[in-house]
Amino acid sequence: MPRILLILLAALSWWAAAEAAELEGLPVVEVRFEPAQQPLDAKALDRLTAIHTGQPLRSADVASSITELFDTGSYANISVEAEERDGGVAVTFLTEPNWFVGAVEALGVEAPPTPAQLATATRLRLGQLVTPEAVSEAQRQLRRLLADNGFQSPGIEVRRRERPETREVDLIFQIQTGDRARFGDILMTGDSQLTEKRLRDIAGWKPGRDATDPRLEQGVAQLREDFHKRGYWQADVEIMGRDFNPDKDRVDLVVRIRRGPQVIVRVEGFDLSDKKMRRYVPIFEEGLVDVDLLAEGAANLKNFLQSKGYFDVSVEFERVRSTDEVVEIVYRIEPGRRRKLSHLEIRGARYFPPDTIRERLLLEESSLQRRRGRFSQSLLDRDVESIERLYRTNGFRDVKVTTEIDNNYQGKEGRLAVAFDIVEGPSTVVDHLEVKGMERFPLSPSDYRFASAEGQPFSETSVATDRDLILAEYYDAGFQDASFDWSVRPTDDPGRVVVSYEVREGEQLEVRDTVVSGFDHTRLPVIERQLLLQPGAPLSQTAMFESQRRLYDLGIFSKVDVALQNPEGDESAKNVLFQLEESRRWAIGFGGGAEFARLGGGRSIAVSQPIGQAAFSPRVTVELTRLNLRGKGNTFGLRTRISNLQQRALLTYENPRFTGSDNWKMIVSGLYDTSRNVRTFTGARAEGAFQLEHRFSKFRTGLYRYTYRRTTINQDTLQITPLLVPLSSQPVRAALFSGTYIEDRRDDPIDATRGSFNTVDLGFASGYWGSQPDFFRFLGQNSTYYHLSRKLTLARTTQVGLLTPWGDKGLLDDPSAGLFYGSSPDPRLPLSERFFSGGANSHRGFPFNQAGPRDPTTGFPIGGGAQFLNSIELRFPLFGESIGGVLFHDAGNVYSKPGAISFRSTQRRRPTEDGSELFDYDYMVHAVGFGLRYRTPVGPVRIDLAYGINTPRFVGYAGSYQDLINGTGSVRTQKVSSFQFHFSLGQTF
Amino acid sequence: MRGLTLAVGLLAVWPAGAEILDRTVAIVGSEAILASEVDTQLRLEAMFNERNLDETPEAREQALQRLIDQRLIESQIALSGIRSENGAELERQTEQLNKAAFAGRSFPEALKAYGVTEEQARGFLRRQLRFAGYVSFRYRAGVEIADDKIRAEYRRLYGNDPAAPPLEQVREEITDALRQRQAEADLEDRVRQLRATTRIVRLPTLAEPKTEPVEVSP
Repeated sequence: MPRILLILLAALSWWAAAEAAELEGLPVVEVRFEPAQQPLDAKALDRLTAIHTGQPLRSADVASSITELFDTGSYANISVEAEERDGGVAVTFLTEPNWFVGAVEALGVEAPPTPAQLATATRLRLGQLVTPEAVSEAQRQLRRLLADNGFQSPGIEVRRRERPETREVDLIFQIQTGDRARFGDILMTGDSQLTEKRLRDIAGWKPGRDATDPRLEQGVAQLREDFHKRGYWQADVEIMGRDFNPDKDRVDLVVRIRRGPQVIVRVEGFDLSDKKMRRYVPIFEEGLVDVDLLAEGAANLKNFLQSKGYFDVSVEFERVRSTDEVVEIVYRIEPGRRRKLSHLEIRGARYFPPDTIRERLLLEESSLQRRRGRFSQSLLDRDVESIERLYRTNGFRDVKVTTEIDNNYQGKEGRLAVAFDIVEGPSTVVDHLEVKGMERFPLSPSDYRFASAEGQPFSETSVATDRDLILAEYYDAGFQDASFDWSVRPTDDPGRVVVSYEVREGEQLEVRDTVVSGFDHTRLPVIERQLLLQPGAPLSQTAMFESQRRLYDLGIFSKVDVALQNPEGDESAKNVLFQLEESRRWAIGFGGGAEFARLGGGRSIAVSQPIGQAAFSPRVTVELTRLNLRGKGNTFGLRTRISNLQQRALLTYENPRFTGSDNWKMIVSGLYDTSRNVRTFTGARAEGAFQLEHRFSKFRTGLYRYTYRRTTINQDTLQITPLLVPLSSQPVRAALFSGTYIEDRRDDPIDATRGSFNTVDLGFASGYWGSQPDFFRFLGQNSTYYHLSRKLTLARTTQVGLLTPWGDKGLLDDPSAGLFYGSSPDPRLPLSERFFSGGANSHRGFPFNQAGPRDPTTGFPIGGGAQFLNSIELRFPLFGESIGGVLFHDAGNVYSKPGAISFRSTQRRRPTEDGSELFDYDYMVHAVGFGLRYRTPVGPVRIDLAYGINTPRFVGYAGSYQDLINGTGSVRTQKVSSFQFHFSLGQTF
Repeated sequence: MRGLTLAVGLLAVWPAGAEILDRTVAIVGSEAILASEVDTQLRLEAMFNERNLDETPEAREQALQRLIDQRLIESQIALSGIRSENGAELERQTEQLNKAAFAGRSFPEALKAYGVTEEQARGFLRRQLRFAGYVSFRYRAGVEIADDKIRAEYRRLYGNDPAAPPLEQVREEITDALRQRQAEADLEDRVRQLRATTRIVRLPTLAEPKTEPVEVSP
């Protein structure tokens, strides 16, 4: 800059300063801010500035005003001007606001890396201050990530999309990657003894392949794995350098491989599998052989063998050979005699019942499940610590626990007994609690039950509980910087102490506004209804994250970020930012599978096989989903399933927040189904339903439905008495209004161990709303679960179903009259509406849908007007944590009519004139059985083997259906097999 | 000529009657330095160093740089949690102010001549003492001076002067001086590191045509 200009500018500054000095002390007639749109509201501006109209102008006030405003973090630059006017001075604050990060996008890159990885690499966080350095650093990090993925010379352009009303700026990094570099030459160093070709084959770094970070990492892992397989457990593979050759678009690698010696580990004295050895001796996982790891391996092996009953085991290790080529380690095990922990005793416990302590122990007495019990020195030590910790957290600070071990319990060799001797000592009680520092937000002991209240046992755990409670309340009230300290002092009474809490509240933050961005299709009211933060309210972290969760629960956003804008600034009112990423609205899914079941209805199965036969059918499923319909969070879905046994298409429209309420959900559905679940017939069902779901509370839900369905049965497939065919094959139109009440208090819906599950379903079908048969339907279920001990669960369920038709349609000419022994299903109830039961998810004494009344001639199940089932299960672990067992008893049946429900356990029979028999089916069938459960992330896989004690006999037909019509076949008595095998997913109930 | 034209042009477009009272001139981390603070710093340094007030742009720039260093050191003091103010020493030095002479002027006369207030002067003194205390605690306390360095310094100071006092007589004084020098060097290193890692931005005047903020350090 020319010297003359410098002088003139300096003179200007001096002149300005001289002029400013003359304004000192003049009354302020006006205070303005430019631009008019300011980051802070007028109230905040007035509070932060020390210059007000009517007061004399002071230079100190000007300086303090600028500092206060700047410290809010809302401004990048501030200048204060003044001019004389009207006998005073008009003051103007010229400001430049700060900008804060909104959305960050990186465009133009073909994965890898993914857009999400690129956005993360920029390290630009939602709400943080945007500075040129932060943007430069973001570009640098992007270049690094791109280079790691083969893009060596990308062009990166940054675009800003500003939102002045919220001071947010979206940063869009437009990237031109060019071609991805490929693998070039590889220089190997070290002692791998691999050829370059072999290395490339193992690692997958073939010339011409894209040189990306994931490929490099995978290659390194594969090389290590290869060395491990050959016993080189200490092999080290490292990429020391990557050189980019721009002329050839190739990356040359420098790879250092230190193979290390071959490591051989042998175990002597005990037959231990390689897999177990690798699990317990950590040198394999760590890739290092040192004394500490070998000692840890010895300790692990000892604990393992002790847990198997070798309580006296000794494990020593020796490095028998150690050269550059080979390291050989031998573990010498002397297992000693195998014993069992026969007896476990707790002595001296007064404050806690012994059972309470026993539940916490890792040691176990021998049992059916664990024949040797469970014992090791480390488990014993941990149990001692666990008991002492239990007592200390309840005020017994001086508790002492010792153990006594009897190696020949009751004089029998091989039997171990362990006794825990507890000396509880005096308990320490809180004399009183002092709380200081709660001034703006006092927590009254009458509203909050502090764990360290007067008279309660004193423990640091209680203090920690109180601390968490107090700080959670403060954070929720906007005191984000609240802190907590505590102290304790004795009183004259040695068993009592005074506990003091001191809270430093800090500043209270409030919500200035909630700012939502990143949505294109979703309507704003749908989003705003999920936000629990109100302008002016205290800034609650719980409300912030709960709002985030509610937005995720809408199911229409793949990402919901929440953050405070300008978190480092001093201003106490903060904008809360929600940055959304909408999910793809269209989703298509394809699936495949297979069914294997004792199914097969219709004429494909001979009329002589009412139980059906095993069938295998591949299955294809296609799902199409449209999310966020009309931007309102609604969902449209189409699910189709096609197999030999079932063809189904289901259309649904779901509004998860009906009338904007979180507690109401609406579902409209249409179904077309030709499942052959019931072997007696093949039919097609078309159904439409409108359902409202009302969530009363966390545990209680109500469903209100109108269902309209039309079922047509293929007359040619009916496997019943020809006399009944015309009636039973008529298409049926059923329309029901129904309501269901559900109360679910189970601890785990998939595998409950405590609680209860109750449902009541009432349905009315009437011609008034379009139904052909008129009937009333009741379905009730009551299930309860009892946690008998740490490992035993008793589960029971009782289910009742009743169908009561009314009106006289069909009654007068009941073609089934006289055909059944005892009661027959009411002819007013069409086949498709009757109860069918039996199988893996109901009465396990029957094959699928085989319970209840049967056709008197063919023996095929024809359903009934009532059902009753009572099941009891004892659930217990069998092997480890994943495999469990079940003993069960199922009792019940499908009955012809509600009035026919009976607890009689014998089946009646009556001979007929033609030499055959008539059987009644209205009696209670019992089945007992055993099942295995394998726990998976989606629920237990279940195998049940049931033995039916009194499964029904029935009359079946030997011959074809034509023989049946012509009366040329013969009848024969059959019986539902006593043994039934079921395979399914999830618990039975 | 061109420069003069430009300067006159600036005068012409300068908002008539509007004076800049104060403004932000730099950002250190998240704190601002105001033009008035630079001005005060300039005056107080001149007063306490008993030299003429120099308000040239170069002098202002140097004052600003020293203020930036001060802010960096203050942030370190705050982070360290060290209470580096010696209350008794501050009291004593504050009392001395009234008795001190500033280039022949009394304290009140000097305040008036240099255009600063008593509160500003006391604040300046307090800061200097705080920095000295911090340097002493953080940097001096752990400094060990090797014997050969003491001897080398002795030789530098006294050479072959036969009248020089014996080494043992001045050892402590030399050691102290070397320790102070080392501490100051360590402090300077630290300030250099902080400058390299802290966001330091020079800000343009908002009344001027808008330019991009000029960064002093990365």
